[in-house]
Amino acid sequence: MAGQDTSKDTKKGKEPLPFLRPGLFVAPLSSEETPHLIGSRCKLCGRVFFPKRTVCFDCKHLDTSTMEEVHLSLKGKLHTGLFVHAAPEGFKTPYAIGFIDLPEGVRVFSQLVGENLSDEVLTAGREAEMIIEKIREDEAGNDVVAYKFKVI
Amino acid sequence: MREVAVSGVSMTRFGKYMEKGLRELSAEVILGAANDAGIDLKDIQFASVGNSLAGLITGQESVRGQVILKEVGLGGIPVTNVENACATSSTAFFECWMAVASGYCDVALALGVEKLFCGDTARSNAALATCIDVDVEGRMGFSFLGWYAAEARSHMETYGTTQEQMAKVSVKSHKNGSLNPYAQYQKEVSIEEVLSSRPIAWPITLLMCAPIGDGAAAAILTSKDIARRHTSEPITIASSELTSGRILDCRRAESAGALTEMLAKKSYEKSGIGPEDLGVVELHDAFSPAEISIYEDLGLCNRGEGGRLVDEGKTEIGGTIPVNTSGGLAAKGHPVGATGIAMITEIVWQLRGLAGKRQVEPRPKVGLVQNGGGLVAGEYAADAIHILKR
Ligand SMILES: [Zn+2]
Repeated sequence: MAGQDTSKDTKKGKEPLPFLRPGLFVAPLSSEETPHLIGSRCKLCGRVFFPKRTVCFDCKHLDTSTMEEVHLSLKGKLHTGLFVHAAPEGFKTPYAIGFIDLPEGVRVFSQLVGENLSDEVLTAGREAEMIIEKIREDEAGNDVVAYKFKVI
Repeated sequence: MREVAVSGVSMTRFGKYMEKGLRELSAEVILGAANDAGIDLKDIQFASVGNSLAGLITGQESVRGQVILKEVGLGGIPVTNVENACATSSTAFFECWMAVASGYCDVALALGVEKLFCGDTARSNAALATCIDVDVEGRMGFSFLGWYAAEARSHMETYGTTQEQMAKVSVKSHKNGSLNPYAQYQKEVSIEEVLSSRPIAWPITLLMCAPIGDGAAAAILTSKDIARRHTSEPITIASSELTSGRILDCRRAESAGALTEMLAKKSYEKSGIGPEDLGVVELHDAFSPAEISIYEDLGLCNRGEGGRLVDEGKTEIGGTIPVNTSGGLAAKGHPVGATGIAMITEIVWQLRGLAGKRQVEPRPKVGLVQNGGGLVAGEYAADAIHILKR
């Protein structure tokens, strides 16, 4: 039958799908390195994207070499921040989420952390910095580590 | 393109059906819609079957439509399987409209069906959480809720809309639902009950949220000639419009104008009908605050005046432009893949004068349905507007 997986390694087929899409961020391997989000910049118009992509939304050029990979700024400003009291599996409620505007003109969705966070603190314009931390637990109870923004 | 009639409609009551599956729910409305249209099942030349989440609930990821239609012996015709999150069955309806309008066929069946109760709430919620971009949104903790709450806050900050006005929308929905035998919830609630129900994400409280549910709805679309054999006053489709969200990359509506506003303008242009001509509207109140900004998107009032429309009672049954007479998603219920055709069913019933205790008087001549689905990068993944007239 077309499309059937004829691989003998049936055990491998039972492993869960990778939880996170690869290529979203780089976690530091030593204390000298800093984490960063991986984006793309269009060489034609300069627009920056997150996550990285093949085609610029505006120029839609067919030559993929017009897009280059870039590291995004660590710090940005909160556009929207709010607490939610209902969540997908693996997240502990209540928790804060929001959109962060980075200087490159990119808006990133992320969980928000910080000291004494409240709906009142999460106002537009607050500075926030990207960190790498546990964001939730997977179905087996393992920590999933990815990016978050810390409200300063 | 030729004119297309909605010749028959049918829906199950929305709710919890632990003893019924997709096939049983679907069979009821397929037979109901065919009876309503005065056609035989063998007259159906094309079927578009909308279901959003059964693949994740039951494991029947592929060929759902064929499996479902087998229940009523429908086969040997073109069948398409359609999925567009909450706008799934509006998309099936759109496909059928294209099939009949283009002259490809004279009789088409649009079906929407969903079964979300499966005895495992986590599974239902996990399935619903796939109506967004799971990579950079869902798995990072994003949900519809966060988006709707953020939109509601922005409306409050920009226009002074209040949480009380948002609660009034929910009160209206539940009041209308109490008059609708097809609604999941048929009980009125007070403003105080809405405001004091469990906080979900400020300003949204539990009673402002559409519940999960099961149900089905079907429509038979035909050429106007065929419709005339059965009725002297066919309900026809003045416009059928579907769009995906623009690629905003989380820049959201502020830089592009609302998607629904753009689609409404296009629908009004194509149909020659304006917002002032509408007698009844069903719109996508997945969370009650959204109803207020959709009034504005549809041009029922000026930008920023949605809250006032609620205060003045203009969108109640008996108001100048009744909205969500069915009870809306909040009270009628929201079995995702069935919602769009159920909204269309309500408008057909209103235009025919068959809406019982919630009938708008005088009987409206024109009605509009707006049904949004999914979220990608800050906008609906799919948005559909249908304008029906008699
Ligand atoms: Zn470009």
